[in-house]
Amino acid sequence: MADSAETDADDPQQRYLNRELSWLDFNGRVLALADDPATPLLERVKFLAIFSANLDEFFQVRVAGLKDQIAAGVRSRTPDGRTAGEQLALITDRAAELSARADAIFLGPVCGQLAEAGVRFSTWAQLDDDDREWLADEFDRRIFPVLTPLAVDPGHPFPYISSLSLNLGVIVRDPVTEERRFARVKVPPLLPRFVVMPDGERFVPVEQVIAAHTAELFPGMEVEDSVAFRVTRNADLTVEEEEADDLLEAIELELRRRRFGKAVRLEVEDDISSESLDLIRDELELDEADVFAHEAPISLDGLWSVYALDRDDLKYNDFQPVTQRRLHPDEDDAERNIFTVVSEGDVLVHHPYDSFASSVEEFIRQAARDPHVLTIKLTLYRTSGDSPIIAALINAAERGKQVVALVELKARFDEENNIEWARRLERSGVHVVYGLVGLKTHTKTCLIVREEGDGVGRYCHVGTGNYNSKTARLYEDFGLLTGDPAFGSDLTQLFNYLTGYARDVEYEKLLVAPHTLRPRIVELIRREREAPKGTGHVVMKMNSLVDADMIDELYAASGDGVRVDLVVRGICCLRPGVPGLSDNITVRSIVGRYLEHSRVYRFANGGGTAKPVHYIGSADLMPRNLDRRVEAVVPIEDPALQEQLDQVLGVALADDQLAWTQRDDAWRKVPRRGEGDGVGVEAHLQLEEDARKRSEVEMR
Amino acid sequence: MDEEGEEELPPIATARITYTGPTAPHWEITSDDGDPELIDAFRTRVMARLMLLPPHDPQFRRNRDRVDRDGQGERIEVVWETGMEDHSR
Repeated sequence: MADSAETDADDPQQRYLNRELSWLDFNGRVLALADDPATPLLERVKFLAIFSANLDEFFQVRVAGLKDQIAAGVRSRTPDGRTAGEQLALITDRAAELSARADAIFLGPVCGQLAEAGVRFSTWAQLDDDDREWLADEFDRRIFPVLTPLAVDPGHPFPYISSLSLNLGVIVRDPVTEERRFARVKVPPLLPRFVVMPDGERFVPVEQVIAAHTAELFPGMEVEDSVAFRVTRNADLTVEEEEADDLLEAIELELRRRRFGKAVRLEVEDDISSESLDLIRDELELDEADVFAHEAPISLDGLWSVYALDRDDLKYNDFQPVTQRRLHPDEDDAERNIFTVVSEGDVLVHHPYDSFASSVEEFIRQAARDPHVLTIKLTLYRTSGDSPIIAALINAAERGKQVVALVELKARFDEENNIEWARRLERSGVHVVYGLVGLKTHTKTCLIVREEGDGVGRYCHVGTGNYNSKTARLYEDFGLLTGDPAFGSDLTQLFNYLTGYARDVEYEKLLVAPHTLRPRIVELIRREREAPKGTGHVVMKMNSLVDADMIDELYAASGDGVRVDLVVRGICCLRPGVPGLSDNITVRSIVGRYLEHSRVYRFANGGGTAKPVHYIGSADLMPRNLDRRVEAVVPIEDPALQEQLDQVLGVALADDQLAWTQRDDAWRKVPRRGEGDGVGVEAHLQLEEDARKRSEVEMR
Repeated sequence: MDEEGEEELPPIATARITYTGPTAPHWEITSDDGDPELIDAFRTRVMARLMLLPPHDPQFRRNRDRVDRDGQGERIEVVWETGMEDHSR
């Protein structure tokens, strides 16, 4: 940790934190949930799987991008003053440390307690003869037929190892010629990661079952060695454009194409022979630093199958999302007309606590059926497969309504999904638009135009999360449903900009990136610096804080005595609590059962002295959100809804069960309150409780 | 008005500032005496200083002092009920 007393605010390494290391810190917080005895046992298993999948993606995208920079000879430095090579060295050490920690957590407390709960992981060596006999039969019936052993010799070049696939490397000896050969057996992804024994409660890693039967794959040969390994490759270009655009600016497209799919990481079992390791590593053109040796089974994201066990006693209590009172059906059970409700006053929904189905989906579903609705326009970014929203849009188009769906085909890892839905929508008559060239559309907005009296009413939804029914049960997000004509006009302008050729668009209330968002946020931060002493206060809740200019604005505000409270789930490149730089800035991170995903910005004097303004929207404070994407952030103006937001922010700032706090460059768990310090607050449970209350009382 | 005279003037209202617990808004400002309009305006200013600021926050001590000074200036007697032992004054 930097010596605070000697912080040189002009030294970039002491002014900003590295985004890659900060992300690894976040994944470390996920891992800590797997290590926390307070987390239900199968949820700990789930967090190990999430940690592992997160790290896979990090290597595919961020590490690959840094390696590209090194290969291209890029010498530029990050805001924290580091070259790609310096970052890579730091990342490798930290990632290795975290991987080893994950293995230890799995093999130690998690496996131990699972065994006590009747769920056992067994190695081949631990099985008795009956079990082995059953597995031998299982191998012959289900596994053997789908395996393909590929020999490597002068006549058989080293096969292409697909990214993230599990493989066995086998060294066999021909007893006749004494020749030794290397072969690779891919474990097809259609096989379960763990074979479940007939009792349904014991799991054996599939690679161990295959390894015990390699003789059947190489008849007449002697198997000398077999080891599991896994390769991570640079993911494809679409991935890079999403996550690694900042790393790739300086790299020619042609160079990126040439090294497409290059290996970036090799994971092996820790007892691999040096012969096998050298052979695989050389073939993949990897360095020693790229090799991660595992004590636990490789690729813990296979633990999802264990999490799927029907053991509710080992999981979080299932919370049923509630419906706000204003959206409840009428007393005679007739459905409440959502446009009437919204025209009487804005509705702020907080998912997953407030039901997504009975609010946002209902909004679109009613629009599709309502004979007075003329037009539905919305942005589709990472929607779920069986989305009721897609069904509603198709229904609306078939009823002759004007339906426009802006589909973002570059949403990372979701391209195939998006293309499939886009085609279905087009076939039903929906106008499908594929966003702006060079600007990814990240807004979560929906506009409904409805014939009313002698004119039209416009109804809007602006959210912080995607129109995705599945993630709406797991991600914490806000959404505003409003009939305010100003928002309707702004969204009309925004959709025209997205689907047509509108330039110089002006918005009355909406903040839109890459145009008005950055300058307005800066203006609001600066306004706090002019507020009466002790009243300047900024609260921001987001996923990532990376933008150096925004960080500088917050430092300047802190220097003028403005309180700055940040709730940042993921990456935070700001150094809080550094004397002379950020004395008045606090940073905390909430990591728990739900994924904190909302972006909320509160400025205590944004509307004048002691008149706060609140914004919610799709944008984090990262260069890509502020400058390279279309984002929409919307003010929450109704005092009752502002109070609702304040309560949520207050809960996040009060949490002492899930929260971590950052001071300078170090994250620590917030100490749980002791006797006499008041009652502890667990944000997610508290917000579940608040939502239940909200569903019982009228908000206005 | 000179400073000496200011100190001798009796309070014209009392405001009770009560800590309501760890979740926002944390504070309730009530009053049994004094001009309601004066109290309402004072409440707005106090909330601006204390919003989302629980008593264990390091910033609290500074802002509590500011609230006390505001109260003196307004001739409002400020009574704090933080529900915890106060070692900081």
